[in-house]
Amino acid sequence: MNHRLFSEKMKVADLVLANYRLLFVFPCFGLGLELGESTVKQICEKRGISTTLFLLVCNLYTFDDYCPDTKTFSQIPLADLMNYLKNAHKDYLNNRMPSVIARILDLVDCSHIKHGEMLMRFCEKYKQEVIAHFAYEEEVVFPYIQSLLEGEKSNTYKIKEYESNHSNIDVALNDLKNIIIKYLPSEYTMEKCRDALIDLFLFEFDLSKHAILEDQILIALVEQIEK
Amino acid sequence: MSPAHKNKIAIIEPSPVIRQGMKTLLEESSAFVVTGIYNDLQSFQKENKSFDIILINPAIINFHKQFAVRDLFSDDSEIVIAAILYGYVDRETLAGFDGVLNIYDDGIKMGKKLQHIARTIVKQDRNDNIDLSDREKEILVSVAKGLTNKEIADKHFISIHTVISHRKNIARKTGIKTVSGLTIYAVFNNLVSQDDLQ
Repeated sequence: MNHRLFSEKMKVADLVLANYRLLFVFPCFGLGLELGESTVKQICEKRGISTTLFLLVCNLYTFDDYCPDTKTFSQIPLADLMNYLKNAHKDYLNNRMPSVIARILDLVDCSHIKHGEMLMRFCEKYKQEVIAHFAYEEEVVFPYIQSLLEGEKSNTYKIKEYESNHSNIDVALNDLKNIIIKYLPSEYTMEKCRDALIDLFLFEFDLSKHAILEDQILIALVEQIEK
Repeated sequence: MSPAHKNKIAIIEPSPVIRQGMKTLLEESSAFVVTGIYNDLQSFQKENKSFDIILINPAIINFHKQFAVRDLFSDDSEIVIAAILYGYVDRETLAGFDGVLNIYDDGIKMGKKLQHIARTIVKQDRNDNIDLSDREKEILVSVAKGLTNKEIADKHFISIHTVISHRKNIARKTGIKTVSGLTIYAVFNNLVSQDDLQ
């Protein structure tokens, strides 16, 4: 199955041309455009990015059934992965979520619908949920992993705790999608709805891939160290 | 086993390679005969033949997601419907099928799996409506008002188990899972007025 995956010899520009959603991945690696003809290997070496991690994320974002083989898995640098996840959190909080919420505000603003403020309250509540979700990871989970990497063993906290508490933050987005598509009164304009929906779809997609990185990759890597 | 006792299979799958490959592999077993091969749902429905087993790529179903998989086929509840799997499909979609065939399996394994699925098919109540029932609407209003499952059970004189089962059906039918989302649904659909919600 591996013949169709992205590899280090491919041009980074071709990756984006194959899957534009990678445009949301690159900033989290600190990577911009002006990619020229450079290959994945060249760009990663130049920018000090782990090629394994970069390809892992790009493949995960592009091929729905992708699952890294054992060799790839064993080469994933945990510290770099954590750093990537942190950057993604920042991007989600500072750019993506405000953009989704602004779209919905725009939707509500353009028509004086009586239920508009309900939608806004829903968004506000969701925002708080996401902030709390990321805060837990950054204040509890990542420092714990960091201390593991530095050779400390904790008797009080185990990654299992994170695994069982890790909630889905894309559920509310899915609800919003359903509400806009199915139940929003038709006086809302199609154009505004469409813009809001496309943002929602893209953000939800990113969060679902982000969750795979955390649930299936990060947790498995940490469990190996804990043993 | 005489040919008359073979299970008649329909394959509905867009890829010709997979269609033909599955037919070849499944017919290695004496239990099956593939009597219909279709590249989409329309051509299957047009021919209107009867089958024992339908193998279908869930990607085809995805376009008709508002229907339960079973509703897309005749109301013959004896029929076994299995998904042809070669990529990630979310659990919710797969739940609508009686079983799953993985295309990376060999012919023998695939045949065994299919026989297993055919034997274990559980007949369920399939008289499922797409719209919320009156009862479900009542429960939804209580959910929107912020009542707990226990309070809802007491108010409607039903068990908590029944409340949970109603809530599952509501979530499945509306596609909305959070309480705040359901509240918006209830207001938009005039099931409850905003003034009734604090």
